[in-house]
Amino acid sequence: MINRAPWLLLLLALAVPAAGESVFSYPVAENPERQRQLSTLAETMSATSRIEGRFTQTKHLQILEQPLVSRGRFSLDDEGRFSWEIHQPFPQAYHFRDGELIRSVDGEEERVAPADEPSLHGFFQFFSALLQLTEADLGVHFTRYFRHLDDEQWEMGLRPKDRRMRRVLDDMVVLGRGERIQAVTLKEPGGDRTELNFDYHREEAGTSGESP
Amino acid sequence: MILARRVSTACLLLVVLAVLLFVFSLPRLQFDNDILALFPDSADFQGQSQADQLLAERITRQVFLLLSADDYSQIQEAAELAVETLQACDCFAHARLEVDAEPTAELHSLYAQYLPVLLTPEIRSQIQAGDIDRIAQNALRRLLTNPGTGLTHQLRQDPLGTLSAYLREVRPGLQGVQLDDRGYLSVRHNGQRFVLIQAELAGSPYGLTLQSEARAALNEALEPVRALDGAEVIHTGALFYTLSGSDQARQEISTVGLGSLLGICLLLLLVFRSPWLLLLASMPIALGVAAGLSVTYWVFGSVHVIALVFGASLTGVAIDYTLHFFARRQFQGSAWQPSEGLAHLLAPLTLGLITSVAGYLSFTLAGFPGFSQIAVFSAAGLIVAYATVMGVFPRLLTRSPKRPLSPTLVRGLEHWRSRHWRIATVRHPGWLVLVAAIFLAMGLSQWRINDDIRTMQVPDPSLQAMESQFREALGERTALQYLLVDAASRQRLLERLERVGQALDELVSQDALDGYQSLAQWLPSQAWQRENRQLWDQLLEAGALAQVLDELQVSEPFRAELHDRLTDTDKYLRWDETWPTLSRLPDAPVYFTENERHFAAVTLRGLESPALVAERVAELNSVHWVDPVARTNRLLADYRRAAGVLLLLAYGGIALLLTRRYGAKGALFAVAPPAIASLASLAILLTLGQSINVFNIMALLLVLGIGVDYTLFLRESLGKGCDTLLAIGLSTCTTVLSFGLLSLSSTAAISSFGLTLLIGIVLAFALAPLTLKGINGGPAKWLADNN
Repeated sequence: MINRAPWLLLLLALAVPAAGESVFSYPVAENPERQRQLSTLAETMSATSRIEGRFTQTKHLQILEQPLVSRGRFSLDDEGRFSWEIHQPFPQAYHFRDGELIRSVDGEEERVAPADEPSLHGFFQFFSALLQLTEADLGVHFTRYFRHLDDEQWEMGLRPKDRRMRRVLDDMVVLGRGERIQAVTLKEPGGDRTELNFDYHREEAGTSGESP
Repeated sequence: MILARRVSTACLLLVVLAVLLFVFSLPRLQFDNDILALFPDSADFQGQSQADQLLAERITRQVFLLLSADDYSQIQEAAELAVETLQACDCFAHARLEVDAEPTAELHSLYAQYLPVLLTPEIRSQIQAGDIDRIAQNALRRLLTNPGTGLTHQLRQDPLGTLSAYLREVRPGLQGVQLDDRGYLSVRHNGQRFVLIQAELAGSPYGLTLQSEARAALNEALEPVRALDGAEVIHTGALFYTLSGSDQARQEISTVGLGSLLGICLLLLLVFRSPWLLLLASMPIALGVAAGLSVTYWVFGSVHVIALVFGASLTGVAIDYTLHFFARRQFQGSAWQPSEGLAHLLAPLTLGLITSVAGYLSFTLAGFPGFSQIAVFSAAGLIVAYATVMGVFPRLLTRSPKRPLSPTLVRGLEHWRSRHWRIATVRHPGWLVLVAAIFLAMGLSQWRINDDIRTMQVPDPSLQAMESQFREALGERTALQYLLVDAASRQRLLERLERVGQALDELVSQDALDGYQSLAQWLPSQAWQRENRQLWDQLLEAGALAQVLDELQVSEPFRAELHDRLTDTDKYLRWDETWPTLSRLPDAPVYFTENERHFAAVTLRGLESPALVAERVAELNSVHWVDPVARTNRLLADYRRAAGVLLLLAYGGIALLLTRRYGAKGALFAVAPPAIASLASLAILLTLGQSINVFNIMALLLVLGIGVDYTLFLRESLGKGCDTLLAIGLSTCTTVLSFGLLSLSSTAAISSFGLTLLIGIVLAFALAPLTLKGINGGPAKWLADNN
């Protein structure tokens, strides 16, 4: 299966793009230089065998007075096993591999069938692809945009090609430093926004299993 | 002689009419190849046939392919190409690698408008138990831990998670199916990862044209897949069984059929030594088949392919008439006069025709549409074949034969006759009768019957293995058995289905089955919805929704909108807006109306204790347990018994018919040889360890039809001369070559038919001279006359 390298690690946050311009002004298609840059990055990331870290998810919804924040850990091993463990506000874990999604609540595991919760499957499908696949595979579902912000930092924009996917997602911006993704921002058609920030610092003992 | 000439003229006229009818019918002929059309409407109760048909249509058109290779991304690409190839064929309605989400999404949008009236039994119990906090906490957990987008939509559509629980309950996804990185359906089995292609045929898999198109498309689609390293293809669906059946039939036709044809041609050439006669011998059969086709078409509206095959074979029995004509002519040699030949053959051939036609037409009494077509086809075919022999042959074969029979053959026949006929002149046959009776008694005392369709038609084991692998990989365990529920109105039907559901829920908790699918799960009755509505109001009054919205800090306008929508009373899911959407789902529940009654089938999954489920539902009103395999077996048993009665009636009828000409004793001795032959074949089959089924009995009907011909021809010729011996001897050989070779078939049903006929016909020929005992004056007089 293509490049297994975890090529996106997160970050982002503070990167400030050139004034008045977004990454969406830098399409990859028909620009050999950007294609080369993206390929080089993908190759570098593919060399990393395992990634793990903490995430913070912040949802800014139009209908909510305050953003919703959840925290937890994630990991992707060299066999493509992707784990997403939420610690706050409720402990719950998802394990995804080869399209199989297992939800674990209070020690009980349940298989989530794609037909039952298609959007949940879609999320893990995408993130698993984002962390595993080469940029060529992302190109199947998204129109890609890419630019370097400085020597280390880069930014990738993704816009869904599929009509059904566009109903739930306007675009997505991935920010990275070197071979690691630092942050992902997802924008929805109604104005809602989800930010995912990733932290790769070694975790301290005892943080897992925290409850709200 | 004058009568014979008149009959011949009438026969000629009949042949001309048959040819004209065939020419007129030929452009209109329609062939039917749906195997179901051969079976009678065997429903035990109203609605069953339609339910069977709807369920069968749904299942039989499905084609599933599981593809795997060492490199998964390569198999994904090969699967994309395969789907394109399948879609390019008109034989497939669709082929896909992804879930068709549209119909499901449409139904979900509809359900979202009726949230308060759609509750699962579990949520109903929680509300009834006052466990409101649990419902609110589960909802919060679901909303707050769900990663990704779409939370506003989720909150608007289903704030308490009751709808998603309902949808999970209604449509439990196949446990083994996953989505891969390209969104394709994939399955993991025995450590391997497969891509799943789902396709649906554009028509019935029994259609011969569709079969050949689909076979070509599948071969083309799978060729690149099989070329990959470590490629594995698992396919399942009715199509593959029908293709395998067709292949087997084709192979048997090309070996057994060709062997039989060559054998018959060689035999006739050796005996009659004339290619012209060989050609002429096929004329009555060709005209008979043409007549069979036209008459069957006009009587039934179309001709079933199976009726064509069997009808044509039975019409092939008409070769006997030709053989008698040729044998008579050859033996007469230079003294041959067509009018004399006609006069000589008129009585035996006409009697033979009447008995055969009566025998075949008795098939119609069985009520099997397939048998009725075969009967009409072969009766019409035999009449026209007889007419050809009587009307056309005397006009074509006016001269005496150029090459008489070989003297060696004539000597051999005379020698044979002198020995064979002794069977009728044994002076003290008591010990022979005793031995025969002991043998028959010993054989028949082992009487065993087997009406199980599964042992009569064993499908290709490799296909069965693939089907098991497929079902295991996908966790697909839908049972063949189902429940059929009916009521006078839709609402009554839904209420009944809900009661059935409650009984089945209990059985699920007792592990008698894993689950079920019922229309009432998708569309609850109005009464059930009203109950749900009350429970929903209790839930809101207890503050479950407020608890969730407070926790999330939902803004006031959205809160008000949600509140208005969810407390809007008297909004119930109605049949007329639900059913059109529901019926478009690929796995829509089976519902139909018949004679103003409403029917729904409840399908069962993982049925562990069929007897327990059958027993429990038997207590419910208007619910029928349907077991298609058991029903087919029962049907075959009924037809075995019916065919047995028909056989006895046919013997009785023929004996009665012959009494007028031969007297009671003569008639008895005319039917005794085929009767004894039939009993002896059964005894031999039983001694060989076989069990008796409807196909054995059907073969015995033929033993009667053909065997009586032998005795009639012998009786009419009074056993004199060798032409009759030659004719019936050749007839035995051709019957053995055509039908007897069916015993080599790999289909148990056809093989047992062929074997019974093989043994029966050989014995009927061997015992045929017993008919001479029936001549007035007894064997002593006959002996005196013939020695």
